[in-house]
Formats: sequence, structure tokens, C-alpha cells
Amino acid sequence: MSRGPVLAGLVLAVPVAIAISLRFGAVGLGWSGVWEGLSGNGDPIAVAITRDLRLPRAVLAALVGGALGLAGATFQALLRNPLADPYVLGVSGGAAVGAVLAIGAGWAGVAGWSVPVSAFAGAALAIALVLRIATNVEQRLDVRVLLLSGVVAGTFFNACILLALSFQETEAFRAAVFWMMGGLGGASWRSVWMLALALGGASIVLLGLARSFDLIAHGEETAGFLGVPVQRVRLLAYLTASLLTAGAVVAAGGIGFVGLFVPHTVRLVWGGGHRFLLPATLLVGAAFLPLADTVARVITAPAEVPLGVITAFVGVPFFVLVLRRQTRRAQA
Amino acid sequence: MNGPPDRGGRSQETCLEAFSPLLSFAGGMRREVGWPGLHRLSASAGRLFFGFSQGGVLTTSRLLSIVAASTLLLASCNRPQRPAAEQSDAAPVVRAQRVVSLVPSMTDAIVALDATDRLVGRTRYDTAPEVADLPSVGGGLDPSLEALIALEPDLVIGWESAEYRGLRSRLEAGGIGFHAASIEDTTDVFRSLDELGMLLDLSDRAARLSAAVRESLAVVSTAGLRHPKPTVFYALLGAPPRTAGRRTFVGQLIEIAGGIPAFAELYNGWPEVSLEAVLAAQPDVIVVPADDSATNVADAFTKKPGWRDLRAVREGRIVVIPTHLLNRPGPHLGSVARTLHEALVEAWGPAP
Repeated sequence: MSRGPVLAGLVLAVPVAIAISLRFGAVGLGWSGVWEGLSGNGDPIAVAITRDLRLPRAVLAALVGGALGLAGATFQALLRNPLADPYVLGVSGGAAVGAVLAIGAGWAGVAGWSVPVSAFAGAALAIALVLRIATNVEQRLDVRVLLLSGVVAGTFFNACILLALSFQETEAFRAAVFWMMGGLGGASWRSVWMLALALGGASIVLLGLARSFDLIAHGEETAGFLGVPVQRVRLLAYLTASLLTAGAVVAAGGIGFVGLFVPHTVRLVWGGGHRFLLPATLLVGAAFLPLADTVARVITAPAEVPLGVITAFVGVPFFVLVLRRQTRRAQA
Repeated sequence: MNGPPDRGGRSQETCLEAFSPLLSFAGGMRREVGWPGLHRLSASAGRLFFGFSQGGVLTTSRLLSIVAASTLLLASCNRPQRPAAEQSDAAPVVRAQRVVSLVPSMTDAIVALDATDRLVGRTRYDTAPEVADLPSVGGGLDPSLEALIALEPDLVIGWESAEYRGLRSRLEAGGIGFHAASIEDTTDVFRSLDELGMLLDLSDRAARLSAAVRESLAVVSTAGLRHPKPTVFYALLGAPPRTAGRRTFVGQLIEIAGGIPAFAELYNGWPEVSLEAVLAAQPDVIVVPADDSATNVADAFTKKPGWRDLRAVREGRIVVIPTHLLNRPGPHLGSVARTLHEALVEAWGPAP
């Protein structure tokens, strides 16, 4: 199948997913109720539910899914390692620690942007730390060492978060604990705009690097010979992917596996170079997460299942599948 | 309540999930994170605590095992109350002289029974002047076993909670009696007062105290509110929020104070209710446990998406009750009911 129609189809899939997410919830509104609510001339309760609760949440879910998918595809391209994703690499953990520290230190009240900035710093530090550990052990980047480094860094961030939790009796850290409970429940237009901005900028940068990613896929040395400024591309891409991860973590807390299996699905189903893979990953992530969130909101309504549970239920079998395929390919 | 009385970590979460009913008022948790917090913690546990650290399959299997375990425990929590007789079997000591109560509402009860001199320790949540000078043993759910044993108590009163793991058996092996308290509704409060009376050999005083509490509840319940009675939503903030089931002491206090719990069909525990459902129900009054000033709390509500569309929020019918009043189902139940009633009168109007 040619790539153009696929992308066009995926572009359509995102609004469809958002529409489905708008349609279902704890209160049954029906399509007409949702439509009247959105247009603002329905029952005031329907208006409040659709405009104030469901719409920002669905849009935020789409943005978070897109950001995590794109970040995952970028890490996988850079590391030429299909198991890399922001979550496994400990980058989400770094972002979470950054955000918790900012909230715990009380900066959140002083400046609204301090939390995302601090989360971004945490994410960037995390990936730097992981790469550093991995390259310190062996001169060249070994996949297994890299994943181990991710686990090591993640364990450290885990400890930082537990430490923060033990301070929860102070006012600021209680706020941090609340934040960590995250999820998409607190979606607001402010977080939507913030993440939309980050995702927009990051997409432009990463799409511009797509050609270099294709060459890097054949090996960094080869790419270097072909005129790709490998170090600069890597630095820029790591920073951009960390920014996306931080944005997603600030908006919704840690949601695992989206960055892992969305790029894989795209690669397995359609294959293709990064000029297709990156936008397709973004769109599939953006369509997947609102649907996952709909399931999370509906299956135990009026209570909610944490979104991470739903993504893990889809993601874990997928992770196993990928591992098996890899092993088989290696054996063949 | 507050957060898990303590340090994060897996055990805590499991307990939070599992013993939501208990924890919801776990007296200790004075400086509340609110207990939705607690609950959500378990969710983030999977995501943050383990996810970030372990990554991969391990993580998820761990998350799933937590979910599964919590479900089982929750199920066990929901079983019908055990008959009182059976409960008192669990009380091996009569006329205890050296008591440590890990349950703040029971500590309150001991003070109210004028038996403060029998207390030899407290938890870090017990800060009332009568007990503040006693040595602390740590949190109510994760006390230091060493500190407990060093106090040489003959009776430890704790939650009916799997969270203690080895604690209870170790205490009993050392000849220290353990009484498990399980308090969810007002009936449980009176039953636990009876039990406490037997344990301390102060049954007469306990009976008088019970009678006094019942009397003050009766006084409040005859006062009533403006008709029609308001529907009252007790909001433990979170996303989604939680409320008090009708068969919890908070649900019952709302009825005693003259209101009708919104979501009257929810009986047990502290269920989550989606904000959408709250919007559809449009409760007349919202009761929020918080230690902030009423104006600040009301202000925060008018800014929150969804909440600001509630009529009760727009028309300012938000009642703020200090958290420590609504998480200690003990001898002060009567005065708590009165406080709640007065606040509801102010928000809704007195009975004709």
C-alpha cells in the first residue's frame, strides 16, 4: 500500500478516536446529546460534561499518545534498538522526579512553567545518565548494557520518588503526591495548549531529522560518511524526545508502553523509512490513547481504571511478541 | 486522612487499596492528602514506583499482581461485619493497664473514658494535648515494633488490617494482647466503645459515654434543615473524586445532620464517582474535608473544570469541615454531627 493514503487514513483516525472518546462516559448522553453539548445549546449539564470534561481530556489524550509514540520512535531510531522507549529507558522516571522536585520545592506556586521545565531537565538528565552509564561500561553502545542502564537509572529515580513520598506530610510534597497520581482526570485547556506547543515544535524538528535517522539506521559510521552530522543529530533528537516525554509526563503522569508498541505496530504493519514512520507513529499514538482512555473511563464507571493499566494490558503482550520475533530473527 | 500514614512503597499501597474503608477515616491521617490520594497511589505505584524502576515485563506483572491482590483484599473488606461476639474473642486481655492504641479514634475514646493514664504510647498522628507527651511509636499502620515492645504494653489496639503482617503475631508471641478494631459506621463506633470498656474493665463508663454520644446525635437529628432536604455530596477530591457510602459514619452523619447523601444507592465504603455523574446529579450542597479556609476552597472549586459547572459551586453552597473531624469515628461523633449540621444550616437554611 502506498504511504500517502495510509497517512491520510491515520489523519482521519484521530478525530474519529476523539469522537468516540467524547461519546462514551459515566453519563450516557448519546451522539445527539454530545453534539448539542459541544455546540453549547443543549442541556447545561451536557454542555459542562462535553466541553469542560470530555473534550479537553480527549484532546489531551491524543496529544500525550502522539508525544509518547513520537518520542519512542525517536529513541528507537537513535539507539537502533527496538526495545527502547521513554519508559524503559528511565526517561519518564527522570521527568517525574524533576516534576516532583519542582512541586515539592514549592516552585509550582511561584511560576506555572517551572514544573514542565523541571520535568524536561529531569528527562534530559536521565537520558544523559543512561547513555553515560552505558558507554562507560563499554566503549560502543551495547543494547543489553543500555537497557540495564535504563533499569539502573530507573531504580535510582524510583528511590528519589519514594524519598519524596516520605516527606509527604509537608504541604508542598502532598501536592507532589497528588500530582503523581496524575492520569488524565485533571485535563485542562492549559495543559492541552502547553503540550500542543511542545508536540508541534518537536514534530517539525524530528521530521526534519527523518532522513538522517534513515541513514543512521544503517550504522552511524556509514551515516557519517554520507555527510550526516551524527553527533549533532543525536543531541538534538535526544533533547527533543526528552522534551516530548517530559510534556507527556507533566500532562498525564507515567503511562507505559505507548512509546514502545506504537512505533512497532507501525513498523510491523507498514514498514518504511522515518519520513513515514515518524508522522504515522504520532498519529497512531494520538488515535490509540483516547480509545484506551475511553476504555479506562467506561469499564468500571462511575469509577475509573488507571490509564496505565489499560496501556499495559495492550503493551505487555506486545512487548513479549516483539522479544520473541527478535530472538527468532537472531536465531535464523 | 492523609495519606498513607506513611512511607510509600508497595506494602502501603496494597493496604491503601485494600483497606480503603478503614483508611478513609484512619484517624491518623490528619493532614490529609485526602484519601483519594491514597487510592490513586496504588495506581501510580504500578506506574511510578515499579514502572520507572524496572521497566518492562517485570513491572507490569508486578502491577498486575498488585491489582489482583488489592481486588482480593477489597473483596474481603466488603464482607459483612463480623458479629460482635466474635470480635471480642479477639480481645485476650481484660483490664489492660499499659495500652498503646494505633487507632486515633480509639485513642480519643480512651481519653474520653478518663483512662489516659493507661496509655503508654501514641502514634505520630495523636497530637491532642492529653497524649502529646507520650512517646510516639510511629505511624498507625507502620509502627516501629521495637518502639512498641520497649513500651512494654499489655494491650495494643490496631486496625483490622493485613498491613501489619508479622506485627500482630509477634506481639502475641511476646505475650502482648492485640485488639483489632474495625470501624466503618456509627454502629461500629458504639460496638468499639463497648469492646474498649471490656478491655479496660471500664464497661460502666463506656456505657455512659455511648449513651452521651447517642443523646447528642439524637439532638442533632431532631433539628433538621430547611425543606426540601438538600442532597449532599461528600467530596474527597481526586480525579475522579470519591464520596462516602451511605453505610459509613460520614454518610450517616450527613443524614443525621438533615441531608440526603447524593448517590444514595452507594452503600459501602468510599467509592469513586465520576465527575460526570456528579454533574448529572447536581447535588444541593458539597461537603469537603479540608484544612484550608472555606473561601480558598470555594475559590479553588470555581476554577476547576467540571466542578465550576455545579450549581452548588456557582451558588456558593460548599461546606468545608476540618479533616480531623471527619476521619475519627470516635467519641466526638456527636460534636462532629453538630458542626456539620451548623454548617449545613448556614448553607441551606434551618428547619421551619
